[in-house]
Amino acid sequence: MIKYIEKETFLHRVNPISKLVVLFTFAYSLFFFNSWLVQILALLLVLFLYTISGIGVSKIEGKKFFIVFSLTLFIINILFIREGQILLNYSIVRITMDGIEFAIFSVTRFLAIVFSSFLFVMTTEPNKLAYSLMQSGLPYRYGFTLVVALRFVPTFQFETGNVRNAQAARGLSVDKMSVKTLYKMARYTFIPLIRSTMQYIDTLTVSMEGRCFGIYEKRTYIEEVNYEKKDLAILSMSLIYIIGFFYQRFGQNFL
Amino acid sequence: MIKIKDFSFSYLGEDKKSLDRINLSIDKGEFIVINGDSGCGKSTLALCIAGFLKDKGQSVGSLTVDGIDTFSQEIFDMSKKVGIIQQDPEGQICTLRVKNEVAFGLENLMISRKDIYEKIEHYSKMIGIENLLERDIFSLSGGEKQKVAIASVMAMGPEILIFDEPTSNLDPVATKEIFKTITEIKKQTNITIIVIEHKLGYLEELWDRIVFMEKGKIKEISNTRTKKKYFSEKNNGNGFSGKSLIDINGLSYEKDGKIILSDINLSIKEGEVLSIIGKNGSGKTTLLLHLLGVYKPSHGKVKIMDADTRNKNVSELSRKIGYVFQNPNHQIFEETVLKELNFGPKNFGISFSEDEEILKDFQLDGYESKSPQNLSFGEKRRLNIASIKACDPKIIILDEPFVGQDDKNTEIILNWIDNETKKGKTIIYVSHDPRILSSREDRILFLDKGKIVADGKKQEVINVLKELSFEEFFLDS
Repeated sequence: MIKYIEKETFLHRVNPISKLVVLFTFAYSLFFFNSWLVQILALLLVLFLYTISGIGVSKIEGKKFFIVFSLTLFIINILFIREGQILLNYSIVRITMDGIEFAIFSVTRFLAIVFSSFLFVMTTEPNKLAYSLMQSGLPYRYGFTLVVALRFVPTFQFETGNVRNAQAARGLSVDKMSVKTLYKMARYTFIPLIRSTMQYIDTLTVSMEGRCFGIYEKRTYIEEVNYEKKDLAILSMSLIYIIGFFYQRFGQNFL
Repeated sequence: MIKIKDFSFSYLGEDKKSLDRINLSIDKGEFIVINGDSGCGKSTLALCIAGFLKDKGQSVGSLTVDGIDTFSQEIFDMSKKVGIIQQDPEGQICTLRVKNEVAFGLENLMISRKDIYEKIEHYSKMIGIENLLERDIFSLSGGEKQKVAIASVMAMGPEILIFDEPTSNLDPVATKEIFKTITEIKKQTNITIIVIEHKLGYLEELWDRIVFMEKGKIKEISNTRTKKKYFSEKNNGNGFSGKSLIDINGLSYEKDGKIILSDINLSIKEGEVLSIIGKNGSGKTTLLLHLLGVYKPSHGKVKIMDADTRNKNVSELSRKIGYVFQNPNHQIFEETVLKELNFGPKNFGISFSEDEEILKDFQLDGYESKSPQNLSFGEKRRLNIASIKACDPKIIILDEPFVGQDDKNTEIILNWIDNETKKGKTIIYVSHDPRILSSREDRILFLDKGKIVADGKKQEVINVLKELSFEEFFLDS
């Protein structure tokens, strides 16, 4: 699972909201560049950020999936784009320069966007993100939905392990995998987990209402999410980038 | 402060009165203990006082706090007055960091940052969690979580504090810590305190009055401190002479570079009862899961009836070893009690027809077509054990079978254990309850930090534990 990795680097210290803005600006603008060179540069930039954030490319999980998926995407693009300078023409297979360019284009764009989102997750403490979002205007009820969900992820991982052990103890075999055992396991895992979730909900309701959750429209926060100079710089740079970018693309008509 | 007059309450859709003509008045600053079997209505009474059951059922009579009818109030108005700490430390914490948790209620009340920090400092000192404030909730032990929950409720500045079985999920060391915390609160504040609790020993010095409840009614209110005699003393006098069923030799287990068990040597015989004790996190469950083959030793050997667990898979081992896990909800899979009982035998492909007898043993007869969902906590626990018994294993492991069980349920389970061993079964149970250990003569194994610290007869183990200052695992004799 991709999750937050604690480190003390620039990327970790940036305010989550400014980081989120940069992520969206970056990912969004990639859709407007038609050049495959730009996409490659963008991917290289993302990989570079992995290095300077002290996380390293090796922490990207599911490498197998990305290799298979990228190759498939690559081949499909090559096979289906038939325009442009022909490099190879054999029976129904026709490989063209346009096809290769577009294949590189789609694969690198896909990877750049996915990997930059992963990087965001790995450098952003979820708790801080939730609290920043709430302090930036997200209604706190939604914010706490996120916080409570994060709070119970490890609990449910632990409980799933317990349920699996309990199944094994009563002879629901996990040693051999088949569609039937898979169905059984899903069914007999789901039911006990729902039951314990209901119990948590009862307890949590008393605990949260008992501490006046939802009494007022707004609430205060002990930790103020700071916007430092670097955050303001990042935010204004993103803004300038977006304006410049739109101006460049849509020319005079934009303003 | 609290005045309850001819008060009755029944939940929506139930005819049964959960509380039946309760009369009780509690003065400001008083310390009240409520005791009674599970399902006697003590938690319901607590929730009624805290104003949580306003829309959940039908009430007759009057229940007032400071002259205000709790059933006419908004829940938020009540929760500023009455704070409630629940049984499960896990479920009542809603944020990810200790500091955020203690601040949670104060933030909801729109209190300024500066004032919140002052309160956090004050209450975290009182509860003894000042060095935990920056910690992640995940990294805390059960006892620490419960203390955080107490601090979070205390920070709201309630006038009445209700503890609803605050220690039933905790080990004896953590239990003692929580009672120390409650003592500290009583000393430093003038808050009215109501503690719902089975473990009376620790509270005897504190209570002004104790209320005994039974079937929704108050049976007795008293202010005397009499040592209660707990469970009937039984002597497991089989002399451990049977043949050895479990042999563990030099077992060590490491996970993620951490040593969880080290150099465990243990042999358990036919017809023996072994009680395993130790703090939470001392490796008890890891050790027991080795018997089931869920974990395989990093070093050393675990043999079950002469078969090395490394060569067996879990499904083979679970024919010989029945394992009853801690949380009843995690091990109930079917829609009816009878189906639940048949779940194991069906999976193992063994014929099973003793359902009537087993249900009777666990006093669950007549429940065959009932949904396990609708059973009480104690009944669920008995059903868990009955369902393992249905698979007829030679060895039965009970992980914390007595947690949250009242005396009646505990007695049923203990009687069953003694009967099984007479039939040559081996029973291993983990328990935190000093009352049970002190009233029995089972062989006791004490684990600490993954090592066996003591293994033997009760008195021998008590002597070792006294030396190591772990006396809280036993009652003073």
